[in-house]
Amino acid sequence: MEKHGLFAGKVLWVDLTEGRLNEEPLSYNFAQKYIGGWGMNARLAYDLIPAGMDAYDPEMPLIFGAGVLSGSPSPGSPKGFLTTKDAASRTVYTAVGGLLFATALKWAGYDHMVIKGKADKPVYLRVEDEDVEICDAGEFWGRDVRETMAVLKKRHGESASVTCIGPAGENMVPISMVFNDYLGTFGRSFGGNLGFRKLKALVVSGRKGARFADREGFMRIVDKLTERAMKDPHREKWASQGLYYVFPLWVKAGYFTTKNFTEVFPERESFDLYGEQHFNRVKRRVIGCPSCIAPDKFMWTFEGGELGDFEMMLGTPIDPPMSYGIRNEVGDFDKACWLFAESNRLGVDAMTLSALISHATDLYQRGIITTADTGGLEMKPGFESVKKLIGMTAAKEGFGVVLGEGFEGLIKRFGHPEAAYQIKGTEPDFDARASLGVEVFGSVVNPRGAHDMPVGGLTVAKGREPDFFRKIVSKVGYVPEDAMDRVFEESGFNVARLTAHYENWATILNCLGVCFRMQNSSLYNLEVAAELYSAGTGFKKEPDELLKDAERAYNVYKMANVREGFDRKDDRFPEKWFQPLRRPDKGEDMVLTDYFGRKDLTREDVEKLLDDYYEEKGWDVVRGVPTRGKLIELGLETE
Amino acid sequence: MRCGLRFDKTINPRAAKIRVSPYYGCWPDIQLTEECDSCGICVRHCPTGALAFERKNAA
Repeated sequence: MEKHGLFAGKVLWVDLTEGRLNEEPLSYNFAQKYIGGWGMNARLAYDLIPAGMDAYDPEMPLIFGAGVLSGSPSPGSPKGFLTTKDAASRTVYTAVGGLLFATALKWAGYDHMVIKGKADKPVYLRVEDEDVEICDAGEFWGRDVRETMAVLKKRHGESASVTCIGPAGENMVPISMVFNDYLGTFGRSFGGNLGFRKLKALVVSGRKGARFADREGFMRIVDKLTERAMKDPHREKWASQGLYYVFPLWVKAGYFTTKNFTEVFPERESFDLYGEQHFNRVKRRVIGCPSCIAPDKFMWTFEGGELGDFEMMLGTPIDPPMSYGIRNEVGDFDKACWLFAESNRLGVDAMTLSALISHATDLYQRGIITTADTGGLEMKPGFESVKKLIGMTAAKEGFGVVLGEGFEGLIKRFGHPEAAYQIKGTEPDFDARASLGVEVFGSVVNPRGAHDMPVGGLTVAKGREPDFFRKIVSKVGYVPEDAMDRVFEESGFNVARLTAHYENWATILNCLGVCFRMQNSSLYNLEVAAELYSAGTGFKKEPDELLKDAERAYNVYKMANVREGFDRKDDRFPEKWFQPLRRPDKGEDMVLTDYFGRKDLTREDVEKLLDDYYEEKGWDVVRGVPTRGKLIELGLETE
Repeated sequence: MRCGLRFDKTINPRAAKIRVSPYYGCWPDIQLTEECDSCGICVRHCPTGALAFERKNAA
């Protein structure tokens, strides 16, 4: 039996200032406590990022990692991770990316890669197995994301993973992004962190493959999971429609909001302007990550329209309608997609930019922002205005400079934090007024800002019966026996307490590199995760040990942000969630209630929920941070 | 990966007898090497249903 199995066994260290490359063996003692892409990345961040260090400091590390199962055929396990400090929100966080990166890194023989320093001219990093080189990138500095991908794929082979930034990243725009293999991202930031150090791209290709500790045992489980996945009645829909599958559900639930998140876009117009018929018209190809059993990413082509022919590749096809289409009232599927493709080409985070434009337009219409601030630009919804703002943001010109700084920049300059739909600098995808579930609550307490750690769409829409939750959660197994009665009340569940445990499950999936999308994540439970880890790596782990490892990883992730000054005051519901969400076409307003819609929630109720969450985590309820006792229990501090 | 595992105990992309170039251009390039013994494991595990058996010299 090979002792290290699916661990590649090495960490690559790169210093761009000195041009130095170094590899070190992975410490297995350490790797068993801080597991995989997410766990080890969090620990490395905790050790390597001193409190208060600027995101654009040459010493700030870019920490890349692969999931434990990445590079294996375990269904939907392709995820790679990038941890560093975000320039827009100042949180230390781990961005998750799919496509080829993690598989390539693992197959090249590395579990992690840490890049520090700053090159004096544009460079890209090439990793082809042990052959690692810092290469000149002068010829494509200034080129957009697609061109850069195409040049590097042509040069280094179609199977090489290419990660790169666009002009926005080069210009160190805080809301710029890092893109993977045409259509993936290390969502949803960090472009400037590469641009600052003149690192245009990374090319990773691995031909060494990966080993199992117990091949037969591992493949026996994988075969069972794959068989289940192939029989999933939803699989074909996921594979043919991807996230568009949930479009009708989200429309009905009220997630497509406009007028700066104060009004639900009318249902009829949502289907007319952005429905499945448009998706089917432009869909050309389905694309998937390695090991995915229900690929749900797409190539779209647009032909013969007024915007000329163009194509785009996208993993989240629901995003163009949701962002520019509805938030910024572009009112046309093709135009919304064109703007989204343009953002991706230039390397800007389209989702956050659309929320910022929505916010700024609101302030402009109320006279708080004027043409004196925008350099004469009239802020109005619609294609032309948004198109200009995307270009200005990526180029860091005029009002684009302010937008590029994110919510913090806008609030600092124009005030009115109550109008900003954001938590720690990021807009939440899910709205508590539509459904106060674990996705929403997870967005509030996530140390990185409004991202939903809890996975699988459990409570995205209202309407499930109370007894469903206890049953499904028992099957997955992440709520310990002694906590079950606290989490599941007679009337249903306590959303705060359920989130506290759900985060540990999401952390396990991240440590292993398993995709959060329902078709993949729903195949796994705690027992299967522990069995795969044990058979894959040769280090035996029981389910409860894995759960403890997840808790440790989540606490160290939290502590990296507590050191930056984040605590309970930052885990806030956006002010808008306490105001009604208008729904004119239905003649009703949506207000903040519990998941089952039985009780309207007040600010006091929300504070009580936060108390419950911190208590369930074993944290200091007043400050909302891990206690010393908890850190000692997890081995993060000594007595 | 599935194909490679038949020929090697490790997950070895070089051992696979089917080569799929991901998605540059419009359609993926799929090639079978001469060592392919038509076992069908790739067809059984193809997530998109893009691969199928076809009877050669069918009437």
